[in-house]
Amino acid sequence: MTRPTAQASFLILAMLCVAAVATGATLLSRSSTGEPGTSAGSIYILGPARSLLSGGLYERADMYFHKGVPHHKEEAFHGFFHKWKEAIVPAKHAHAEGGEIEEIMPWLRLATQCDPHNIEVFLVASFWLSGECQRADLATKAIQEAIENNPYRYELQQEMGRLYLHAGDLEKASSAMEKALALLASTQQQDLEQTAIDHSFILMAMSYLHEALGNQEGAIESIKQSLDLRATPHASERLQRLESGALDPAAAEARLEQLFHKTHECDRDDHDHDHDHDHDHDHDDHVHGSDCKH
Amino acid sequence: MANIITIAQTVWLEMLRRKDLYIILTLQAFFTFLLTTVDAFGSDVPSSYIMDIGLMLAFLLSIAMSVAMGARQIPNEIRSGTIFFILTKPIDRFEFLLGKWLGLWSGMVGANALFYLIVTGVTLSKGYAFEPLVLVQVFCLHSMLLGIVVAMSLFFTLFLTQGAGGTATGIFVVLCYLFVPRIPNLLAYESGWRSTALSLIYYLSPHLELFDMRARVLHGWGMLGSGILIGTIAYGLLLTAIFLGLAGIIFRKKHFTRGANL
Repeated sequence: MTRPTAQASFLILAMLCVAAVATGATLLSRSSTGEPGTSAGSIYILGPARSLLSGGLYERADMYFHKGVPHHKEEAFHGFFHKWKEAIVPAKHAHAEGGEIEEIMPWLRLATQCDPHNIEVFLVASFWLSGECQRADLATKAIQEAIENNPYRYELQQEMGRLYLHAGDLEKASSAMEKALALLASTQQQDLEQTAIDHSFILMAMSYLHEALGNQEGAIESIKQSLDLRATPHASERLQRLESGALDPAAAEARLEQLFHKTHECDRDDHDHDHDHDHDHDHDDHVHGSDCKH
Repeated sequence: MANIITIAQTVWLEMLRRKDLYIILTLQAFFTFLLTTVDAFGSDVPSSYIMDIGLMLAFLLSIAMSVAMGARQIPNEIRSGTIFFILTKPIDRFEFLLGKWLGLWSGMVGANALFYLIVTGVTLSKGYAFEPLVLVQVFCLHSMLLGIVVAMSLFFTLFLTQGAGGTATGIFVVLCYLFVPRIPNLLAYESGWRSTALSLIYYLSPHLELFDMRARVLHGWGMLGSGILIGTIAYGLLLTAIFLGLAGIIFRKKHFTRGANL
């Protein structure tokens, strides 16, 4: 075989390999349902790398929220060069606010593009967009996309319910919560404790939603199911009140708002916590990245 | 001085003749433009992510180019035999080395300016506003970093082959940039002789992370004080002088043989 022919053969072989991998990834990605236990094609082929990349981009979003300050790590001494570096790039704890928060969106977007099954990123994006960014329309679109990619994840329907509730559409909120409930019952979740908490929460929310819509029967049924799952004095009291026929749709709606109001806790334990905003401001509005609970 | 500039000019000509710079500039432009296609969930608020990734690429590509180009300078001269011709001229060996460094460094600063222009242009086209003077400071410290990397690269190739010298420089730069600043974190879990050794490494190694102040422009921390800026540049000049000085000592004593395996 002459040299040019050998080179051409190698080139064709390389192109065929690339085409085969690309086709396989595309086909497997399309066949993926997002159901727990099944893997997307692209994840199947590049799984750990894509998930890692997605996680890295999510961390980057978190860092942006903290104005470029990375996580504080335990250190044996605060060396001379560390102090020098801190003089160049401040390391004090600060949070982005208002419009600045929207700057994290491209990072969250890149993270979801790397791993469309990382629903935590979608949920964080939804919270920010619907909250401080006041872009509930974009949050709804993001969650719709997340549902398309992960149709079996009840958390997304739950979030959709929250968004509809936020928009004042109780019918759609109720429908989304019913879907969440159905998914919760039909799928096997890994975190049983969290699933039980979510199950109880959804049933309680359903009960209030039914009450807000004036559906006494539905409200009673949901609270009974909640009691079967976890008996609490509050739920028992509520059942008694509903059975006595004392419906209060306005109070139920207000309670729903409270139920779905998310709060933020920042795990960064620096004492040098620099918030530019008014300290009287309600910190419940803060929700962000991987180090924060909401 | 004239000798140094003449040598530097030959380096510029070589940089322009080779395709590396054009390919890397095209890559930088391609990836930076690609970033503009990211749809951030429909959000239209200008974000600094393009500048962030663009500057990160500029750092990576400029350092890679400095290492690669620096590593080929002396071995190429020996391989082609031109070193023997140059050393017969009335030119000091250290002047020759300084000319190589100046040519490479100034060439890299020029290329880097083009990287920054691309990133700035694309960022501004997306409506993101930043403080230009802070970006100038970022550029200054970045340029200083390139000067150190070029000096390191020349130093390593004086006693290693082109490939080995380039690899050694690359590894050394990565270690100084990523590992050395984390030594205090590692020391939290170490004791005894390991702790002493790591402390020594921490204080004796070059701290290249000091020359990266991108976060200041990306997160609106404002301008760096002139005192700390001048101090950092002085530290950069000191590191450059150390590596060039060491390279000069080796170069003065180096015995060249025709057909050496480089």
